[in-house]
Amino acid sequence: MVTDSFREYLQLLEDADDLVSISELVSWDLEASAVTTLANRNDGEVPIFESVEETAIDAALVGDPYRGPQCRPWEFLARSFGLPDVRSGTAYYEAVVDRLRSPREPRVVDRDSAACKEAVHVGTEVDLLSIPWPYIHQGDGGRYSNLHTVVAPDPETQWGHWSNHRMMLHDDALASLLFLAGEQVPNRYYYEYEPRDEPMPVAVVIGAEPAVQCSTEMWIPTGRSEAAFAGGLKEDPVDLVPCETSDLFVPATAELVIEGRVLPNERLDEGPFGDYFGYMNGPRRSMPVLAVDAITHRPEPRVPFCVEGTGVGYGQNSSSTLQTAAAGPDATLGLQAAGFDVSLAVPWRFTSRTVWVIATDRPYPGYLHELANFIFTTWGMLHIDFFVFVDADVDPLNPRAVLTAIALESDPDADFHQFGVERMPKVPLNIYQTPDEKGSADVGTSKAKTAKAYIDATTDRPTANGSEDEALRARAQEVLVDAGLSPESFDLLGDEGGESE
Amino acid sequence: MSNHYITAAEHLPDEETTETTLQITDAETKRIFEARVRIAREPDDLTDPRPLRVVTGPHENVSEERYVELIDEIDSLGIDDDLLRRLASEQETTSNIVNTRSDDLKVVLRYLVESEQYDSTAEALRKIAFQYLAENRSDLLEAYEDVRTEFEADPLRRALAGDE
Repeated sequence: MVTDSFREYLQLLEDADDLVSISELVSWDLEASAVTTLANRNDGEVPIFESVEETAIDAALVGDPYRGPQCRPWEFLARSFGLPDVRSGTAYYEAVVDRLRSPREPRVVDRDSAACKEAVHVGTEVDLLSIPWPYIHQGDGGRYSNLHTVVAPDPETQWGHWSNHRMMLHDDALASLLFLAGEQVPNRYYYEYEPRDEPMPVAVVIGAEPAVQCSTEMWIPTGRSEAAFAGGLKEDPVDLVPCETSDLFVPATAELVIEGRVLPNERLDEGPFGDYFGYMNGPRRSMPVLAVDAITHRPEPRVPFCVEGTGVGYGQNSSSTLQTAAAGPDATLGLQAAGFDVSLAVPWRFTSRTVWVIATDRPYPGYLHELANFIFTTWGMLHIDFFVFVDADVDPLNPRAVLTAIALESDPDADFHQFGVERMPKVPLNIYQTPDEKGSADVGTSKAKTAKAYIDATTDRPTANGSEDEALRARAQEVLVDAGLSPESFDLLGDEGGESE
Repeated sequence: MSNHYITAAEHLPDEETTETTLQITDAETKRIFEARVRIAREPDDLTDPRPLRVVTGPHENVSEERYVELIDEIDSLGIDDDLLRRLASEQETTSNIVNTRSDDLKVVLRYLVESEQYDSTAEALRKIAFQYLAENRSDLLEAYEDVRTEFEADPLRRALAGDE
């Protein structure tokens, strides 16, 4: 079964006892995120908080719904895409890459049949604070929505561009959006709309179906549409419906849609926020302002949120899982399509977006440098600090295999490579740079610069043929017999039986 | 609305107890808004003090307690400069008479004139209105002052506007 809505996805989790419904009153103010944090750390069920606060819109909060099991983060999403038999990470990647090779254009449905239009609030009826947004970390600058899809105009596709930019709620009609220049939608705002003194229409889609949320996390080449890749992912077109107040289209089965305009030449504070590195990140920055024009939603909408910072180390959360289960397969396909001999590209599970492991052949000298350069100058420039390259037969989803490759194959003198010094862009969310190094906090663009690096943990030895392998095994058996083991259990010993010369 | 507010050190004015426009967060609801406020280190310096946590540092995890007195909440986006410009532009070609009808107001204003506090009812109304705006909507007056300065400093724009 393939799920076509966030609500169906939650039902899928509930049917497998992977979701726990909490009916007791839970506060949006740190309590919902604290419970979710414990679930994330302990591999517990996904919590849905049915009774949060009596607000005009009777919404439930869902804590990190996309977080998968720690041993197989992709498992819940595999189930939602109708891939229940996929057990290994490698098999999941292969299945998803295969589906992404066949995008399907979305289908526009009538607004009367769109679940997200069951309640419509426009004009003076709009009240952002009628939704019990969570206050996620002590020290956050405000209440946040941080697990959603921002739909923005894209002249190259009528379906718009989908991406995720966290949103800090200010009052009943205004929010600030984390728009870091260098990313596609912020660039469109900073370099096209704002210079024209024109507001940019956007829609923030909350509680979209899993395929939509996954494609939001992907880096889709210019001219292609995330909506089509979401359709490919579930082998069925995504249903879209027009917005009430703009020409944008939004996923029809979404739980909640906030329509509005990003105003030109207006800024509001954004942050601090406990970010994916697991630390509070500040100070506040001036970011573009979302003025809300309409709110549409299903009855009793389910509002997902992510406790950022709990996806590092052994814990998982929605964003770390989406990186592994969506961004990874997408990157694998992208690198293969660009002509690289990559078998798997995987975000290192314990560091969220900072480190990636790439299993690849190395067909010619300089190839790894070329591959790293390609990623750092395209989709990986802001978040990724370094790569670990391993042989194509090493499973990058297996931490033990990757560490073994680093330990055995990486020569500290020759295999640790750095790209320049302080030349490459970096999101200012990192904690290793001072505010001065990150640049002015008053502007909406990232001034942070740092170096990038990669570790070559591929083997430098020529591939052993069968006879060399056998000679090596025979020599190992001789050594073991010399050390005192019985020769009876070995099959490659010569007549001398392993005795020392 | 709670009785406890939060703001960032960078938003504070240089002088204490200065009346200023400040972005503050309601500590209970986390609603963020702008207000005309007075700030002081001691509660006794204000008539209606509320605790104000001032956060600072690279990650805003250092704080100190001060006190704030809310005078008037301001729309989050402040003053609509475009509207103000349009009205100022229209005013260049229209009458500057402000009309209002009120027996009560006229009696009170005439009292102020005949008791020699003002020279005329027009002067009394002008001064009282500006005094009220200075105390309660100083942000609006400051924005208008900027618009007027801009208009006076741009004779070419004024000349072109006359051609339209």
